[in-house]
Amino acid sequence: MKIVEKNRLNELMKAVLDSGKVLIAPVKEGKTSRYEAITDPSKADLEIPITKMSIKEHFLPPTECILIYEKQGDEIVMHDPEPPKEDRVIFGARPCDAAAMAIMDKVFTWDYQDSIYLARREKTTIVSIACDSKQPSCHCEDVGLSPMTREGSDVILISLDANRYWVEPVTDKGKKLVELWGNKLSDAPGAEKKSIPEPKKLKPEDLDKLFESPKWAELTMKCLGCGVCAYVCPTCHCFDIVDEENKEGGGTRRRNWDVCALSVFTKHGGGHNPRPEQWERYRQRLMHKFDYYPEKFGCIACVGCGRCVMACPVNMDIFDILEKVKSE
Amino acid sequence: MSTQTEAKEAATNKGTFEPKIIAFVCNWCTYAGADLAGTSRMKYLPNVRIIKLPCTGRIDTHFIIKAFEEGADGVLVSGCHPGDCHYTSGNYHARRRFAMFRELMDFLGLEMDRLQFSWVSAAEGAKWTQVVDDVIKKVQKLGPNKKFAGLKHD
Amino acid sequence: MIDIIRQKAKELLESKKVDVVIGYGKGTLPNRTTPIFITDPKDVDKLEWNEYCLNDLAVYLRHPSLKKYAKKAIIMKPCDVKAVVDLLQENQIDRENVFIIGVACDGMKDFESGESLAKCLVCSGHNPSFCDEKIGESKVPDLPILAEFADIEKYEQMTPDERWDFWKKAFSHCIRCYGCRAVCPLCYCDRCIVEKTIPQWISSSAHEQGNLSWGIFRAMHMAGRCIGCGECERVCPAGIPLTLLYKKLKKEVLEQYCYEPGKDPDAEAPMCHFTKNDSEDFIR
Repeated sequence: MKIVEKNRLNELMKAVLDSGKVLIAPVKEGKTSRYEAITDPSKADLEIPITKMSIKEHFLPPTECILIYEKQGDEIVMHDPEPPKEDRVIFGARPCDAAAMAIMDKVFTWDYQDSIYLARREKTTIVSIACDSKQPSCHCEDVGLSPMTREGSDVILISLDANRYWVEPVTDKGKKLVELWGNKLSDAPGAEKKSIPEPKKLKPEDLDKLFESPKWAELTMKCLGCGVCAYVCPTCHCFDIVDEENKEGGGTRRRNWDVCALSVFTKHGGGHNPRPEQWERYRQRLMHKFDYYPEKFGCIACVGCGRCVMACPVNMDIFDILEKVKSE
Repeated sequence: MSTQTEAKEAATNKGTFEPKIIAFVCNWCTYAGADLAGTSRMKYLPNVRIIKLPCTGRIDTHFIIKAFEEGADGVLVSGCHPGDCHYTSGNYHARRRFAMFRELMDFLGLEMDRLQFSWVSAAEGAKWTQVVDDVIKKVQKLGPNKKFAGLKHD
Repeated sequence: MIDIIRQKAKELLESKKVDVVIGYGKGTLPNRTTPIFITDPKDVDKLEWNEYCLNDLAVYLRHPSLKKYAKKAIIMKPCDVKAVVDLLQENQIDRENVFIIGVACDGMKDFESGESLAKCLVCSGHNPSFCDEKIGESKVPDLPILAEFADIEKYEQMTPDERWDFWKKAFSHCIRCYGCRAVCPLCYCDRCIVEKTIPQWISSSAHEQGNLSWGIFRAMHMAGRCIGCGECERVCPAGIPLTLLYKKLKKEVLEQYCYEPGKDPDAEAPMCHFTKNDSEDFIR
């Protein structure tokens, strides 16, 4: 396996740009941080422990055109939006972010192959940098992952020592990128391959019985029902479909991020709302991630990144609440 | 040269852009004033499209935003003089609302000549033509409204 | 000071003067506090008071989950009290059902960076005035209210094009999470304008046009009402400088109508009233 010096990462990013690919890296902006397309590798901030916004928006944007319709004489003509043309590399994702993509893939290839989402996935190579330290908000190990989880990454950089990373290709896409980097990487004869602890296998838990717990209302009383938790979450993927007309009588059909925390999420046209109280909506979010999704797809829809806990204005802590609901 | 002629000359020059001005006017004063301008056969520039409302007090600031989003190069809002409102106080409320809206738009970076306000009574047909010509001339100088139209929405 | 707060809370609950005390408790992350609701006098020790009590708890006075508590006591920083004053002015709460415990404040800090909040550096009121019980005393000098507007000048001096580029870029990152709306004590509409589809005034999509439209709308709805608690900006995951926009209108309302929100519950709300002599130099 090859290695790279930690102070040569800019060269790896530059090689991505020179090969004509789009480079997406973590950037800090004022009080927030996100993954953004950059043309200058020095703008990347790879020291951010966990960005406020995840890489999700590069695969499932907050708003996206999914269909275009036009009036041509008396006919309505529909066509798909242009698929992405450029190859992209996300450099500096965290392993939890990459693992989230593997989790989302399951629902986007379930009963329908979501071609728009899959086209973005196919065009993107994810290079993760394994975490050297754990934040107070990190819970990857509680959901069966680890700071060095490989799932979802195409290449993963794992610290060999204070100055060097192992560069491990995980997929064929990753192998191609490692080849592109060529002699920017080097061999490390004699270096001990770090023993990477296997994430502890989580026994699948049936949490169906939690639905009837009387504790929900009290534990979720302070929730303001905003939606920030789901929007910063790398695995939350619900969306709303809207049509937007233009002046010529045509328009676009769009999908926009939506969130089960909002009361309008389940409000029916007739006015009835099957989840009228905030605690019922919070229960839905937690159960979806920790019970319904595992039942359907075999994996928890949470990577333990802790963004929801950090971002919540009133410190709703999904892990804390889950523990309290589970306990007798 | 009068403002009217100046403006017309500018408009008939080839290559000058023809702005689209939306005018939100109140039914009882300004609309009647515009009618008077028409029945008196006063000539003025045709670039204004009038939307009649019962009162300036009914004008939500979002009507103005929508007009800009849909391609208006300028917006004129006009109603009864203070004290003459058909509904007694609609224009007083509107006055405060528009004062704040104008400050907000200025702070956001919209050119102030694109957003204008006037009091035109039912007897002021001539004033109506002057106000309209002046707004059109000012907006012509600024050019097409690329700011709102340039916001991505597809 | 925390002992006095806990003691007062205990008294109010034991005497059944209130059904719940809304205050700050220990959060689950370092430095973090979280809103808590105490109904049992034995639980008052869960209440905390420190330089990280950031939330504006006034948002819970109209919160559906707390409707079952008729009489509420609420622990408030002097800045948060202004939200209660606004809610009283707008007839959203009954005065006799709210017991305001005003706590003197030396300034609050950001959980993650430990830095003083920007609003605290220009605070014009460290000691509570409108409240039922005053606790503590701050010796930090109050700045004049105009100090709040110092950062607006920089933007007022830009050209319109520069300002447009700044705001367009700021709002382009908006993801329409409506966190700003949820944390605001004064955004209490049962049905928000963005949920109206017939007709639709504001696009629900998170593109530049929809986002700016939402930003403008909310700013207009905050004119003359926003008390500057800064919660909207704190929660915004896109880092949009919302308080800058709302402060601009606060400045204009102060200059043109001599009105400061959150001071007097009996004052007339500026955008619902008028005088015959309001300024109209912009109207020809």
